[in-house]
Amino acid sequence: MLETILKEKFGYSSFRQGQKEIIDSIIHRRDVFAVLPTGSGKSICYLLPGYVMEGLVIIVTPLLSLMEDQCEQLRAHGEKRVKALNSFLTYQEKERILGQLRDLKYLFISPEMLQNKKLLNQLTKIKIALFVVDEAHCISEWGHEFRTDYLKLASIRHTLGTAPCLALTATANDHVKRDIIKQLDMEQCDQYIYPIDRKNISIVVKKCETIDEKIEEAISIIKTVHLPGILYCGSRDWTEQLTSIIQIRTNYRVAYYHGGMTTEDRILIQRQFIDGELDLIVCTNAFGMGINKSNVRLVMHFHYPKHINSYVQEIGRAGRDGKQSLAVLLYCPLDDQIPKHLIDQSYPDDDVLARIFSRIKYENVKLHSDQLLVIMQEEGASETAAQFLHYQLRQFANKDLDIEKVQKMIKSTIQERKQHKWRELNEMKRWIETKRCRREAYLELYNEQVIEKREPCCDHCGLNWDIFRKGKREKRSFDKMDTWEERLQKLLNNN
Amino acid sequence: MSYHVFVVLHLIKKFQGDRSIYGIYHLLRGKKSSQTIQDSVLFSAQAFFNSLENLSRENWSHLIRSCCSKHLLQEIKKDHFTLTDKGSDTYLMLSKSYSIPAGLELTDWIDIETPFWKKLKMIIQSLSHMVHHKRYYYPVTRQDDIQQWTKNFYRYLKVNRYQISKQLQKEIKTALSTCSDLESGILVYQLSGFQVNGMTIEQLAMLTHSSLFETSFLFKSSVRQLLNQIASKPNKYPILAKIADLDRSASAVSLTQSARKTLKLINRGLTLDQIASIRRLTQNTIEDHVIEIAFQDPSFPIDSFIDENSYQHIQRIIGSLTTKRLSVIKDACGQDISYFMIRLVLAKERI
Ligand SMILES: [Zn+2]
Repeated sequence: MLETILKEKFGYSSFRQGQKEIIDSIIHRRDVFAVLPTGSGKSICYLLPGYVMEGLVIIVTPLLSLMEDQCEQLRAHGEKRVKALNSFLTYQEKERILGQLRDLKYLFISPEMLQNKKLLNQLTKIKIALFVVDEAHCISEWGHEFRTDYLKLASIRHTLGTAPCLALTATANDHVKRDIIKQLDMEQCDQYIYPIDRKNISIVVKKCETIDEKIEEAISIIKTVHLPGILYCGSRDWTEQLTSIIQIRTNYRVAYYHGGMTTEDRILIQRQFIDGELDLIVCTNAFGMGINKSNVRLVMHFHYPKHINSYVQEIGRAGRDGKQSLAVLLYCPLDDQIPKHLIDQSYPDDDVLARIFSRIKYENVKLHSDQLLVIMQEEGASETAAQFLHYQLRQFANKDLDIEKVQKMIKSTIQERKQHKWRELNEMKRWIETKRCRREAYLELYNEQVIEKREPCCDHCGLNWDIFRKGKREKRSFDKMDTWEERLQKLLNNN
Repeated sequence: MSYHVFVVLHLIKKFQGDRSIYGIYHLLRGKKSSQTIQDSVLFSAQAFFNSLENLSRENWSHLIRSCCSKHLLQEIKKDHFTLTDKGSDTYLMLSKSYSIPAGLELTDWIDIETPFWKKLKMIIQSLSHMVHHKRYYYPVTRQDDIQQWTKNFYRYLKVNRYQISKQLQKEIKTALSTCSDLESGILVYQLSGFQVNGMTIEQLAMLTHSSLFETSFLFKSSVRQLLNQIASKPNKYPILAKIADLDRSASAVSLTQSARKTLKLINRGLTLDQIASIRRLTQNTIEDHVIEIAFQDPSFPIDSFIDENSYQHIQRIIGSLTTKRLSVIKDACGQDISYFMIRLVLAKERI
């Protein structure tokens, strides 16, 4: 019976690993925590129950672009009862969606939007079939600092009734797993955890002395190995700079992608990449979630991520078709500055904290007041730091504690969170420095073992670059351009 | 880079330090505020309104800084710049090789050019899929109102999609006839459809080996020419005219939403004080609205805001000064004249 729906609605003739078990649990109204490797059809796990269970499926999704992609994908399959709600919509658009809730089957939503009182009120009036938190590792990764609304999901979920909750992610080590389960208040859940090892991805780390050397290395790899590829950078600036360097030095079709671009440009670049019109996309971590492209041959990191989870997640975008693919991380000592800076910036430093607290004290500001955000930024806290602090302070509102005591407690929370981030960063760095098999080393962090070793495994097991080397014929140059009249003809005429 | 410098010098020269670089920035981004709209006319810079929609503040100030470090500009007060002698020379030299595309000056339909372009992109994409028998596709815009509008569009047109498609192709070709091949190419190559993905302006700039500013200007120039053609002979372009929806846009004099609300209340006989308190806005904001309305609608009566004598007084002073800087005019007018009155006169006189 489930198979019939799978075939009819999604066009697949059989379930992939894990899907059926997870769906079965959900239909029996169990909470589910699931780790399914990227590219294994995670979305089927919440889409299919929508056709079996009565009511609305709410999917909480971290990234705007991801949310809209999922929405469009569903629509492209002919499902019309789907909407995405996020804070970027205009007031009228939000109102329109609020009026349609009853007619919807799937609602994609950002955690921030879910705080909206009016929306919550509307949602309590209708039946909720399933409450999904997609990319649930974001709760743990971002929730404590700048997406603090993630931490309120459990209480919201309970307000909405007793619908089962599904937390989905592609990567979660033990710590992240426990954090997610705790934050979503689903201690009794069924757990489905599938191996994250992707045997067809070979892993290489290359050390360089300087940034220039790293750029040379990146270019030489791009010139030698099979593409299409994704090149991850630590900042928007770097994506733009590298793109123009690569454009000058190679004849590949390259474009950059980051959160600072307009939505429309992002859609174009993304479509070009998916449709094979680009050989390489140079991007920040804003690119990738929810992108369905099976033949990515290379994922390269120009800067290493803050967390091994993100790394595993990002290299998992290579070789979804099962064919041999390559993940290269380039490293030079200067790279350590970027994540250090990012971590420091996420929290107010001691001076700033002291100034903020003295203003709270002397101006007698209420701890839950929004005015605090202004004060914090006036005193020099970054936006993320302010959001973090704002959330933390709210926890103490109405508790009638001595303000100095609150300050002490928050100071120690900051210490804790920072230390935690440092531990994660060190884990990433230790992995970069390891002398062992890289696959073994990262799988160990997920309590997994290499079941069967396949050649070529990683740079430490030894690998022959020839397998990745492309033939002469793959060399690309720009196609001859059509005139604008021909292009228009191509668009609008079907002869 | 040098085209960028040319544009910066061109604009700084126009504004002569009377407006801050952020005022100019708002103009380039097409900000719909009374001040920006009025400035664009005062300094005859309408062509540049909305001409670089996606310019970022950082890029803009970076560009200004780099011109400063080359001693092309001097800061006369915070964020206000004028050309140095070297800047004027450089500008003259650059003007020999660069120019502002003429189509940019066709500003009659400037308020609807962005929605028109978005709608056109959506219509082409959907038609392209329809004539290729594909029902589903990833829309080029995620703006709900544009998607909604596209759905309705087909409901009104009774002819079949092949005819529409053929007709639209013909209309675009004809309407682009005043554009250069480069302009037409920049416009058409941004369009997406079945098995064709549009390119971004930046990609087109690279492809044509021109600067981003020049490519953006050429694009705006082509859209404006297109709209101009449609407006001059709407019967010749039935489909494009439908997409542009000129009739509806013309009747709605280009007031901002908020100014329109204020106008309604003024017409009901309320004072500015009363309007400010009803609308929970500052007196300043309401005054901005009045200026905007006076500026857009020549028949709007202003005698309840300024008496005949003051009006003539201000008018004389403005005539005797070469600058349009408010603070200078204010000093010359004396204590009894407010900034609001001066701006009102400037708006009414359309200087
Ligand atoms: Zn190995």
